[in-house]
Amino acid sequence: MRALLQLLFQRGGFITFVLVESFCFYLIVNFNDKPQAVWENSYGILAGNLLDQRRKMVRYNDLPEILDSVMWENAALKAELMNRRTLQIHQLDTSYEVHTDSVKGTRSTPLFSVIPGEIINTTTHKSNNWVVINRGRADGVALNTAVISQKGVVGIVRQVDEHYCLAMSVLHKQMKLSASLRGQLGSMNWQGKDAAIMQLNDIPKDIEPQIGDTVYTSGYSSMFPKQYPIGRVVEKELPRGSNFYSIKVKLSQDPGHIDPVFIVKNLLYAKIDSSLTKASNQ
Amino acid sequence: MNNIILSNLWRFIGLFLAQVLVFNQVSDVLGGYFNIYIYPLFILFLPVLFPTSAAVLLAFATGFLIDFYEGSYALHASAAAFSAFCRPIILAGFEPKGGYSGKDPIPTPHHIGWQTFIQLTAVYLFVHFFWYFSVSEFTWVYFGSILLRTMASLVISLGMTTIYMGLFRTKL
Repeated sequence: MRALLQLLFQRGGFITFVLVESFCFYLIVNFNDKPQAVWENSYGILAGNLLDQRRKMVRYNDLPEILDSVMWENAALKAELMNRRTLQIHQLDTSYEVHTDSVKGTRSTPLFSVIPGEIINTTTHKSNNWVVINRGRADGVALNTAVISQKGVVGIVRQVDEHYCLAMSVLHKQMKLSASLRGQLGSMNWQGKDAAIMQLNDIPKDIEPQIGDTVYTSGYSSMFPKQYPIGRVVEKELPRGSNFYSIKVKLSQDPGHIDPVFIVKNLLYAKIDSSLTKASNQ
Repeated sequence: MNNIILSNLWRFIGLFLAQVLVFNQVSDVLGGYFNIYIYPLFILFLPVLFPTSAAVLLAFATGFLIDFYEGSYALHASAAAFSAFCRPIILAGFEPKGGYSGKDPIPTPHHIGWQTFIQLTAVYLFVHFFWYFSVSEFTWVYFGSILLRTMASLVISLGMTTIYMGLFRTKL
């Protein structure tokens, strides 16, 4: 207490000055037009900045939840888009389209449902690569469902656990994708060399693909949705005497950098599969 | 002792009336850049050893009165308090060899000589005006304008101060 008094006595001038100036400051910014305008503007910016920082800090905690809800919403939108694409009937490659709603008796029940997920583990260096995803039977994942990412295709689910599933990566020797390039059907597989390149075969020579053309899923495999990007043409070769191109496609989804994925479930897969089996048995 | 209080009181009344009745009106005529303010001299001419805290309070009160007659709030009070706070530092800077002479010395030409007095007053008024124009704009965005008005007001106020000192030849 004595020290405090001594300080006050010694620094009396400064303390008086600070008190008086604080009082002046209050009066100046409250009763003078120009300083008031300047103060309110600066205060607004400062306070706004501070509150924004606080909001960011608070939101940081909520990020996982936000991410989850955004992913589910994204999945729902993707499903919606896929269903719409599938329900359109394309007449050859003309611009003539028939929407199901206007055709009597056509099925308009949804074909795809989409489940968001995250990759837990994956490899790219082996000759047969697998992907582990944090969704399983409990989340609605079934066998032989397609795994895609925001940018491209990832693989096909081959084993399902209660909470996890194992998908065959596109970088797998047995992987076969039904692809379309400029409306022409082709089949894709992985040669096992470059982790970003897949081989596209069966494109007839009259198509004349260009470097940079986008390769899409054909939608005929009944696993992958129609018209989903796979990659771009980086190299084309017409072997001597062959009628089909041998094309190298760079995957638009780099298998080494996998972002959030979506598991696409074809709701009619079982039905289609069984009728196909029946047909092939006949 | 009574003499000192009385002379300061008279000085205060004289400076205050001159400021409010004459110089404020003249400043209005001269336009925005040349403002004549001589009331800070009241604070400057307090005894050299006058306690700073009391000087700050006195300056605040004086400034507030000036504000009242100018229709502003606490702008002059703030500037006067600031210059009063800086007063001991400035006085120390211009201290003659052997300290200020006399029993209760005040910084006038009689005690410290004309040259030192003009320099001292110039620095004191500069501090006062710079603070005053800064708070009246309340931002240094217009720093050039603030500095220009400070210098213009400093020159004309210093001229008026010289005339005032020549007329009254204050000793106490």
